[in-house]
Amino acid sequence: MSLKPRRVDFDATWKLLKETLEGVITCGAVQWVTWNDRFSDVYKLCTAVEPHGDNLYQSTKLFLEDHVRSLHKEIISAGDDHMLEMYHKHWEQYNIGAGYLNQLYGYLNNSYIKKQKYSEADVNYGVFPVDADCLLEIGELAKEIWKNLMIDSIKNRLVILILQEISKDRNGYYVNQTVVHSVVTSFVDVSEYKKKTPLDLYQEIFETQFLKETGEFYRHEAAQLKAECTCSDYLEKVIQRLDNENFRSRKFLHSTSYAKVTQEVQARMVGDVIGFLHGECKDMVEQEKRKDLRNLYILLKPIHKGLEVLVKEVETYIKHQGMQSVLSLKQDPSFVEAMLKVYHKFKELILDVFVNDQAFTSALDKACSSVINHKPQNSRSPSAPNRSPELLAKYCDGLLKKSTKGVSDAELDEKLSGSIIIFKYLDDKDVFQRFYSRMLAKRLIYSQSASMDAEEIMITRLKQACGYEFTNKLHRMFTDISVSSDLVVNFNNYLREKNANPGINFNILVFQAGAWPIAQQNNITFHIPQQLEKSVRLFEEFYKEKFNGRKLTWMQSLSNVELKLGYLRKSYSVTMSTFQMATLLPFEVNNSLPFSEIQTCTNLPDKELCKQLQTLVDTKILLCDEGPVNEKSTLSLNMSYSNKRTKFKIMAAIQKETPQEVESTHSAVDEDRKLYLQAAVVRIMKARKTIKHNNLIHEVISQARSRFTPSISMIKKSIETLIEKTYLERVSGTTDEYSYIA
Amino acid sequence: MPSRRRRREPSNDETGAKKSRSQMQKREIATEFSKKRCLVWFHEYTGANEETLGPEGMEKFCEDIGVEPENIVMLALAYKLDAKNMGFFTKEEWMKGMTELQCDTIEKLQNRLEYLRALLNDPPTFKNIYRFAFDFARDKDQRSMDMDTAKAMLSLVLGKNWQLFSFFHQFLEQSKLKVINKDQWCNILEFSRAIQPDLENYDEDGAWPVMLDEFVEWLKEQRRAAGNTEMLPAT
Repeated sequence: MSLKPRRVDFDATWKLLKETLEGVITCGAVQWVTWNDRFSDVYKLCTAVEPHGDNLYQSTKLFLEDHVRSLHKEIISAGDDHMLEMYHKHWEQYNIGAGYLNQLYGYLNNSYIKKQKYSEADVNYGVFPVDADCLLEIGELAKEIWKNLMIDSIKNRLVILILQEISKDRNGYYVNQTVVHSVVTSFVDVSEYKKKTPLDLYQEIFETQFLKETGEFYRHEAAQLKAECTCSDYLEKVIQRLDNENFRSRKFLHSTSYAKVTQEVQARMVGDVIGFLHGECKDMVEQEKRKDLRNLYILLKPIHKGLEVLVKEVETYIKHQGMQSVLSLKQDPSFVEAMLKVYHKFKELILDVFVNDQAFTSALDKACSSVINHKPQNSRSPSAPNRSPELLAKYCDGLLKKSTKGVSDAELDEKLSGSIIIFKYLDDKDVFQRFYSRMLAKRLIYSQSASMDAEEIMITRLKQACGYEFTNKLHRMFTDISVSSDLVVNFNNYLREKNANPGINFNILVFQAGAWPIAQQNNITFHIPQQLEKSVRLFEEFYKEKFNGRKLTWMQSLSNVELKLGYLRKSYSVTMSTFQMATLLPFEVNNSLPFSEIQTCTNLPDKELCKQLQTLVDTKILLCDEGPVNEKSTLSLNMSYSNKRTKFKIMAAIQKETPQEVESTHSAVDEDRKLYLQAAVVRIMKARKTIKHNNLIHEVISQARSRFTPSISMIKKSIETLIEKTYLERVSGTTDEYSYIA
Repeated sequence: MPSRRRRREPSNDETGAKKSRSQMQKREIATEFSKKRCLVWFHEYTGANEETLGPEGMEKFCEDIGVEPENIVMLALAYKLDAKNMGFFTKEEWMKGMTELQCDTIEKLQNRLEYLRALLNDPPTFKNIYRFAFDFARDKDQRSMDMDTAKAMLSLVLGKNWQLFSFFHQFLEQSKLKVINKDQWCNILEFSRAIQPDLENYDEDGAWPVMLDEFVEWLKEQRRAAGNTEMLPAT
């Protein structure tokens, strides 16, 4: 066949075409050959010498209108009982038929109609009104006609029927799901071709009303349930209702409605009764009813601000629980473990019940932090510092010290991670740092650490939590220890080269003065026993040669010796402090000595000497003539001393933590803070030149937060100090602004 | 005025006697300002070759012009002379200041006293005088002013115009502060001007020195203890 335009008799061709159309639109049987012929008929009509496109379009339109009118009549006559079914049947057929029709008119669509249609861009961005006047593709035309002649006239009845069906479904009766779904979605399908507003019809005639109906239904439902159930049951039922309704949406509705329905049900069954639900929060939380809480969470989560009350209750409860379990242990390092127990318990609960919701984890954080940083409001000492930092440091000390308790590496690691959890909640991290570094120093000096690896892991963790600056000194302490052991090797080589023999084994630790929390001003000097003198001299020579210009200060009060006692029946090897040894050495020549003579030999201050002698008397190595050792005592060797062990330690009194030390640690922290705050203020002022008072306070707090929480008055005092030192001045003419004086 | 001058307060009789003398001088004819006369006048209160008018001269000077040494107008005069040390005028300060005031006799200065008093009523000038008072009265070896001087000076400059002054004085009496620094000094004036006696407009987050925060806290506590009303100043 030729594609050339020919003359075509429209009426004859239309007659043929119309017959086929009837077959197609009713999904009847149409022969393949016929289909092809009609397809080319459409082509011929469009391309004829006198094109019949317009004619064809109008005739087809009339045909479809007639067809729909007749279907309409049929549906109306079916009566309310069968109306939906009838509508469904005809719509399905018509819809499919229209699809085929569209294909049959492929050429008309492409050549004739497309040209007159607005492009997609025009629709989206154009200024033209999108109205029905323009030509539609045949498939679209068919739907438009269906909408105009069918839906518009019976929509009210349809919707009433649909709502009845859905209501039946809600009440548990059987409903033909396919029919309802088909009818409902037909509202969307007929407008599908409208690119911009395909859902308007659906929303206008059906969805709005449906949602209203749904709201009514569930408002009623909520009232009824509330009246007859406990809160716990109510929650269960609501969740069940939500699930059902969600499922129902999927059965009957268009997908865009699912969320809206859920929202509506939530609003009626949760939002409207939120006071009722919130009222139950406290009890549920306090009785830890996990199931109820989980349900409550599920229901309240989607409601705006719905969770606030629950979160607050959870926080209060955790805080209460924390206080309960910790309060009695406030003076004891075991508070760490008690607190961790509470922490883990609620962490698990939040994970399990509240799927680790951010709001609840931060409630946990707040609660823990307020328990840990709680300051007992004690009338006797209102400003007593919070002891948590100190106790936590002690706890860590206990873990890291050599002890008889067998603790596996994994267990130790877990406990250390636990202490980091508590550490993160501390406000006064700098106080912890002070205590920790002092205890670490003792562990390192007296080699009491159970494992250097564990020590390092702990420091690394602290660094991760608080930054390099925080652990800087701790790291330097570590370095000193390892450098010292190299130094000892070098020293021994040096001795060999010099052929010098100090007569004793000699081990030394050299520390950088700044890194170690050792107060130099309290260093007690004494006559170095002659036995040690050579070692000391040789080492000083060696050190001077190696590091010229460095100043060595001997911290004899921290050193230990191992002394052999050879005057007894058995020979004992005793580890003791150097001071203790110094007080014992004069007894090499005399079995009994007065206090004054020992003092002349050692040149230790009275008080210190008393202390040292007392420890020796306590261990029964020395005997005191009467009572506690004093300046008038006479001491003598206990010649009948015996001990089951031949190797033992006398720990000097200094290793005990004294209240003064705690006190001085706190005041040292205070001094540090003042300097830190002043430095922070100067840094900020240097960058900002002028700044408002409140902004300055905020910036200082945010800088200091990782170490401690400064009080406002402390910051203000720092500012005032800096004004006095003329680093800053108040901007004249203002009351709340400072400027930096370069 | 603070202690150093207060020590030798002239008795009333003396002042009376001097007053009559000054009234006599008042009758003299007004003349042009003369530096020479001014210098001669200065040396009436010092030894012949002394460069500084000291406490004794000051006492006589006050008698001559008929003003008690602790009168606030003396502070205004010192301010005008830009005197560095309380209780002293140097020759230089005297000559420069008196020239500015165009005074070379007792009578002329007496006529200017009203002007000096007026200075105190002008808020910006008063602020300058107030600030001047700190450096004028403090011990020159120290950056801050010791508490006794501070209390005396404060009662001189603020005693009459600040309703809360007596409470502030009590607060200082009980506080452990030993000195007042310049920042605190300056802010006391600002505070006295800005804060209502009922403390309603006091903002504890403001930039006031901690000393003033403590004062407010103390005063509120006192008022609470006294049943809220008794410590309110009469308005």
